[in-house]
Amino acid sequence: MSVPKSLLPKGSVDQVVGWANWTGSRFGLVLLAFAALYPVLTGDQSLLLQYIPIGIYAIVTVGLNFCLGSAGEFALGQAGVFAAGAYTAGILTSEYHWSFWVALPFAVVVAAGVGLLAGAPGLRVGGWYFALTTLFVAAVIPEIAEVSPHTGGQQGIGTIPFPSVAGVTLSYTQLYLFILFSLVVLMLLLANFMRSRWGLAFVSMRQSNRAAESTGIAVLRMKLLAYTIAGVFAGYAGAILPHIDGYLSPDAFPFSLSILFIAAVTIGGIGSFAGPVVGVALLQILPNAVSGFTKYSLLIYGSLLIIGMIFIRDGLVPTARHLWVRLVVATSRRRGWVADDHPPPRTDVEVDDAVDAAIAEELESFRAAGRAAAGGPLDGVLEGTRRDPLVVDGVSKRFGGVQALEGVSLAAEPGQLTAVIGPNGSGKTTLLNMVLGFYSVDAGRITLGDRVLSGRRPFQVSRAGVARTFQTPVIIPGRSCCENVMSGMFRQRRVTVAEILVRAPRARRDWLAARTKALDLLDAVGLGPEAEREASSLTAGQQRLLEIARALATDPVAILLDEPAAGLVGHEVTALATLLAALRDQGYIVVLVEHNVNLVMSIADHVVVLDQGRVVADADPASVQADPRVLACYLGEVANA
Amino acid sequence: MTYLTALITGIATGCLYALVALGYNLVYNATSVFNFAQGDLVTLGGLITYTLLVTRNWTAIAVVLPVVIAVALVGLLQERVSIAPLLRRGDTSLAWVITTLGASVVLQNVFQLIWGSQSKPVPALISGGPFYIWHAPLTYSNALIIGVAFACAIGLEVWSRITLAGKAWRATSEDRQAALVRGVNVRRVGSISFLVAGVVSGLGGMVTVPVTSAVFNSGSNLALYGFVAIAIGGFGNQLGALVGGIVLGVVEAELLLWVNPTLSDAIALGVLLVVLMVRPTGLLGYRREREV
Amino acid sequence: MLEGRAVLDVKDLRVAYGELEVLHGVSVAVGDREFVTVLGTNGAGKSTLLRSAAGAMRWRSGSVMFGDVDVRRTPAHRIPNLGIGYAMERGRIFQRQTVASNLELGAYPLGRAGKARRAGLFDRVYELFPVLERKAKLQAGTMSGGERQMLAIGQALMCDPKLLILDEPSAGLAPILVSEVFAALGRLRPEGLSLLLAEQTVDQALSLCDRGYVLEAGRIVLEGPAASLRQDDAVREVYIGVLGQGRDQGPSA
Repeated sequence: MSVPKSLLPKGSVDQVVGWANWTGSRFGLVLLAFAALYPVLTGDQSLLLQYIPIGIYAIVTVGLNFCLGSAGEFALGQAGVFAAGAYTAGILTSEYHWSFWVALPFAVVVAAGVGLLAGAPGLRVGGWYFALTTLFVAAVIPEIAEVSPHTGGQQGIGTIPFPSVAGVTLSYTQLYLFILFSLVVLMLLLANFMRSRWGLAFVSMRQSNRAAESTGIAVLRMKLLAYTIAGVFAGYAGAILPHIDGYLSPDAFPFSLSILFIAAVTIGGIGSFAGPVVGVALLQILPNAVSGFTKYSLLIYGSLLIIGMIFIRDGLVPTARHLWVRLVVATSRRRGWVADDHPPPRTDVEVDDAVDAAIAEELESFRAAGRAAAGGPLDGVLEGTRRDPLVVDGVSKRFGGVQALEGVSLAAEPGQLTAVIGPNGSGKTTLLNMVLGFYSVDAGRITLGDRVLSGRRPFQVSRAGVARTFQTPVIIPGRSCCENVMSGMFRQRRVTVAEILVRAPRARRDWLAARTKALDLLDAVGLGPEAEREASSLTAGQQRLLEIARALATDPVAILLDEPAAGLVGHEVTALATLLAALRDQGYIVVLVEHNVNLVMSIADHVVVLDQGRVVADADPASVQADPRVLACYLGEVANA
Repeated sequence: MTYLTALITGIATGCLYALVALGYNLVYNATSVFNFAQGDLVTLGGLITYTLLVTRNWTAIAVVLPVVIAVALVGLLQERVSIAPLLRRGDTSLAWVITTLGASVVLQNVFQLIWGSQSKPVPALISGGPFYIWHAPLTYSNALIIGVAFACAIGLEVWSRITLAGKAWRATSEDRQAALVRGVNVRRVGSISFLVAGVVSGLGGMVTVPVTSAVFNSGSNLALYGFVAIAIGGFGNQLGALVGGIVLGVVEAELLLWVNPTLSDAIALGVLLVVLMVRPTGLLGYRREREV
Repeated sequence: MLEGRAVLDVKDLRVAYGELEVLHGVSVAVGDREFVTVLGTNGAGKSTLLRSAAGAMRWRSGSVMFGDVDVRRTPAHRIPNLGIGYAMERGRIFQRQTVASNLELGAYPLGRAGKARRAGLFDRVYELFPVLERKAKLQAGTMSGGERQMLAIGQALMCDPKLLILDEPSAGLAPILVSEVFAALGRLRPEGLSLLLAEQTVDQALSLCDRGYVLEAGRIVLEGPAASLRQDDAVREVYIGVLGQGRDQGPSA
């Protein structure tokens, strides 16, 4: 988002929104910074003592927010990892007299490890199973501390030294500044991380696990990573905790602490950066501001959870930003600063019968013409790669009492467009999903050259070079088309995480390279001008093309499309046909499961007809159209052709 | 304590977990929501029992109906506030995890305000000496818990298999849309499930407090244990909830013969992790689709 | 074209999934005791049309009247009480319950008053599909696709409907089973029901029904008496493209 030349909002609505977002977030940051530094500036010691726990809890919740917002996993029991960090650090500094600065990283590793061990079995199952498992872990860890001899049981540890640098004990102010510094650095690192291919991979995963898997992302591993990152944050914060008051007991980790973390993230705004910090601040300041709060604290937290999830939904920070943007846009409109240059969104496209006929004609001309216009940026992409066919050999699959596929064999050659057609219930979609690894084979094999695909998981099939599109286009809303395409490039990253975190030049070059490639692909599919447009504002046809661009971003040799013409109107079908023909000409293996007969018959080189799970015909379009058996399975009789 | 005594105690405790799990099953089958606050409804049953039985000196029989009605109503109210709004807007995310958690916490605070923080002992509902099974004692209270749990589980399972209404309920939990098309009022099935879950929870709370005493915050613990019971026994099956609860209770009771009682949660967690790694769908459950 | 009053009258129906409109103003009618079929390839909108007509989904604009009753104003679970028996595509039956229980659930809308009629309704279904009687005590999930389809039709018949709405009962079935199913449907004629049938197997559907509509890309492109549709080449074109084209020109170079 670029800063406009003058300070006044002027121009199109998009620019105004951009300006509003920019100023809003800058202003918010300044406000937060001021609020955070207030006790330091005024030297108010009692205020400082209240702020210190806020800082620590903020670190935990930023990590939790990341896990929740990016991986979509409800790691509700972060208080457990927090406790593990606290106890580890506390024991190391008090019993073994380690320096605080050495104990800190060690405790982080231990805490994150504990969290991972206890959380991984639940993460495999996922969803609310995982959420409840982590809550249980949060309850158990303090109890283990209660009975273990090392941790001083109920009484806890009492002789924890204050951190010191070069023999000089830190003051409360300095400790607080250290906490603030840690928070800021951790948030910056996280921000850098999210602004990389990793970030896009997480966003893609959050939108649709299946779509992410089909671009080669190993979803389970990514979720474990997100959870571990959250654990690192919680462990770090936990390690600092016991050194504030000098003692540590299991009472520091009641159930209400888990609730506090969840509530802070929920109210602040899941997925928003500053959200958790604001949430924590609010939930910590409230008890001090309102007398008699502690009696009703859980009541209030609980109500906030309910209200937050049902009504405010986005959270305080995103809602505030939203209101600010709306205010700015409304004011600009009223003051005439803005020109509405965007056409109203299309909701209902009327198609003339005349257009139908024109389309049929156009498709015919494409067939005759051969090479399609949009071949440019795809030229030579597959030069030098092996030209192996995608082979399905004798594949069978049974679901319960239903034989979905029986002895299906077909071969899709590179440089050819293979269409799979058949009546309802014939097994087309099952076949597609089997090739892509979503179902296992009962019998038979699926291979791509010498690589065996059957029995592999979807992300492995993607990494073998098979890309796909979905029946309903799966795109990431709220992100530009360019970012959508880039989200498919996770596998091709050439930089380490460390380089990304510190924004090394290599990382910036890698990002630029990815962007350039994405823009090229968008040009290739005909979406060049829309590169920076937000993906959900595209028409159905455009979203389909965007999906194909993203599939191409994974550097596949084969691309499988599930009913790509579904929901597309005349000229959109034409654009799709052009693109598919171009892909075919470049040497990709293109496989189409489709009902749109005009499309299939005009651009397919090779048509496979399925009926009741068996292959009925496998030939060029002309022969298939004339084949009486094909007519029979659609029309129900042996026709006199 | 001998192994046999621990076994008997374990079965009784397990039946308490099973009663919580039955409530979860009922709600989950109807709405695909796991109501974290179900444990607190059990607690409410116990607290009301305390008030009526001890403070007001009612007889045990007289207490049953008010407890059951009160808990069912509170359960319905809780559902209206923390779950229905999400279902109505077709919210398929896990938002209900947070709202039911919030509801649980609110209920606990309310209980604390009304009944205070102290644990309240409740006398046995049926007076008399314990049975003896091979020299191991089985108190009337524990026998009652076991009896009620079995009666509820078996009763519900039989009801769902034999009566038309029960079949309609099962149909709703298997395929909501198909049930709707067949003329089943799926919304009402959902509400009734909540009411029945409330009844089961209320009963559970009532028969358990003589053994565990009534305290405002036992709900969270019950929720987690009930969840483990479901994980072991599997979803979709009332008998699974019963089996799961009993397995958990027995394993815990036996291990606690050697281990510090504070670690009972750790034992339950250990059992949970083993189940998740080995057989996530549980012993008797159906392969339910993950809510993602 | 229609004799007497329509049992089902769909006028100008526009249905959308989110932003995407899939039916663009479709009008279809089914008369008293009439068997009507809607043909078309997948994606044409047949299932959407049937689902809307059966009150199982919302639509953007247009009306669906069942006799005098406005289907839009009827809550979904009361539709069978009106007299509409609807079998969804892919025969969605309750796999975890027995065949007999599935049929019993089909009669659920009849309530307690219906208990007396139930025996007769069971007999009708068993007479049409003897395999269901043989497998009555088995779990429905163990049956083959064809048997499940028959069970789905049986379920729809159990509420003693005036109008039967069937969504592609032949999908995935072997030809011999398709014939069996259609023969059974034919035997329903004397009972006085009306039928709205969505189908892909053109010939069987047109042999069974009195009238037909052809749906393509969300619009009715053909309609008329079944006999004349059977002769019409235009119907074939809808499914496999224009026959002439395919033979003259090969695939692009």
